[in-house]
Amino acid sequence: MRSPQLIITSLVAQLVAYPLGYAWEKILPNRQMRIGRLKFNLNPGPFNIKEHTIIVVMANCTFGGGAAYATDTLLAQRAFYGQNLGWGFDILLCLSTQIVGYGIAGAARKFLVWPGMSDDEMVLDVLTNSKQRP
Amino acid sequence: MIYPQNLVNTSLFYALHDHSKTDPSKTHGWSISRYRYFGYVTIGSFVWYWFPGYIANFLSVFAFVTWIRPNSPVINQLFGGVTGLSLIPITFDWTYISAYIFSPLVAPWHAIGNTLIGMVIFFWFTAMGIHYSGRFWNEYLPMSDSDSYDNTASVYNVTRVLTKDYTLDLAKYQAYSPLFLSTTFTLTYGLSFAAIAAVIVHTALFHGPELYRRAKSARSDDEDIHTRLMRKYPEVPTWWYMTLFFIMVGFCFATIYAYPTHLTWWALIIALAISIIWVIPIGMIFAVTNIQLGLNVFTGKSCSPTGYIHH
Repeated sequence: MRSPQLIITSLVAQLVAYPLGYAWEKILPNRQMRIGRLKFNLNPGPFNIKEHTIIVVMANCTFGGGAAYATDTLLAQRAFYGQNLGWGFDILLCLSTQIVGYGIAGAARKFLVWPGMSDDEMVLDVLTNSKQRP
Repeated sequence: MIYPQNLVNTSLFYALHDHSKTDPSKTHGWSISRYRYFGYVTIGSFVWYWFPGYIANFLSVFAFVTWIRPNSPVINQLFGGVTGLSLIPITFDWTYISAYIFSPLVAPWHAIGNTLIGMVIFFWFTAMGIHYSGRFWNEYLPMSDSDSYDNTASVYNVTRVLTKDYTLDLAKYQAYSPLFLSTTFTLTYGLSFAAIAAVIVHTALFHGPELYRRAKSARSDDEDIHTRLMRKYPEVPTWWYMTLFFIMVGFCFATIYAYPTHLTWWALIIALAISIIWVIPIGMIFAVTNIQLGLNVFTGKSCSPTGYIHH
């Protein structure tokens, strides 16, 4: 294991999503498609900042500030104790711990988010400023 | 309560999506667009990183004092960068600067000052004191390392104290060796307990009345422009988060009982209670200072099957 560790934060997701979003917009066709009864459009418009923000918020939920902390548990199990409980355990552990955290954070929004500027408000700040430009 | 990390994200959004030139009257005469500036800095840091990362690794940990006398343990303990206190910390590699506390550029001055004072008091004076007084057999242990050691100063062989199903075998443990840790590692563990106790008391004393008032009111009553602008979007109701929480607690119980983890149900409930109690204090500290306090030491000692309360 490398020292110091390489930390892949949601900032990396933000940077990588930018060219991928633009490539998506350039490459994929902009017309309605159908699979059975589902109608959708693969490329409804230019890649804008709102879509980018949603990508980053989702990335932040999952691995903001490093890896999901449950992966540290799995790492300790494999590297230190030599214990491997299989992929089902890994998926269940990560899923349950992360979403429990998400639920707790949702309940704590009143204390941690509204008092100051939240992520959404910052984005809105950017959006309102960008609208003033010609 | 600004969540400094989010400022970085927002600034990057602004730089990537807005390609217009900046107004020179606001930026001391510079008119380069943020997008272009970001591009130049990215290319520059890419080119530079080859030097400390691959070509000249001594640039990463520039502990020049250790080059003067390489074989002296005391000089390594005091001035070494990797296993020492690094009293003259010079590095030319940004990944070392932002490795453990995530980019010093985003935190407010009082947070960085706080960290600096804490580091000087604990990691210079206290660590030196503990190490050179030999209180915890430190003359046989490194100053700053993340490994655990046994009583022959080799790396601790965990498999020698485990039973077949990965629990602790007390007889084997007493026959083999107790666990020894390096000086700063011991200090970190002790301080971690102190920090999470301190954060509860700090929040109760400084923010207690505000939290109480906020818990009582149905809606927060600070009407800044952003809250008002966001009011037009319907808010996610709290019961949605609660339902998700309880479903996933069910998943947690399923996980610990479907696989041989030896985690008891009450330890899981204690772990959940610990995270619920600490989420608001730690969240508030993170929101103001970008310092992520960790509960890993505390929960590892209290809830895990090898921890304190199972004995």
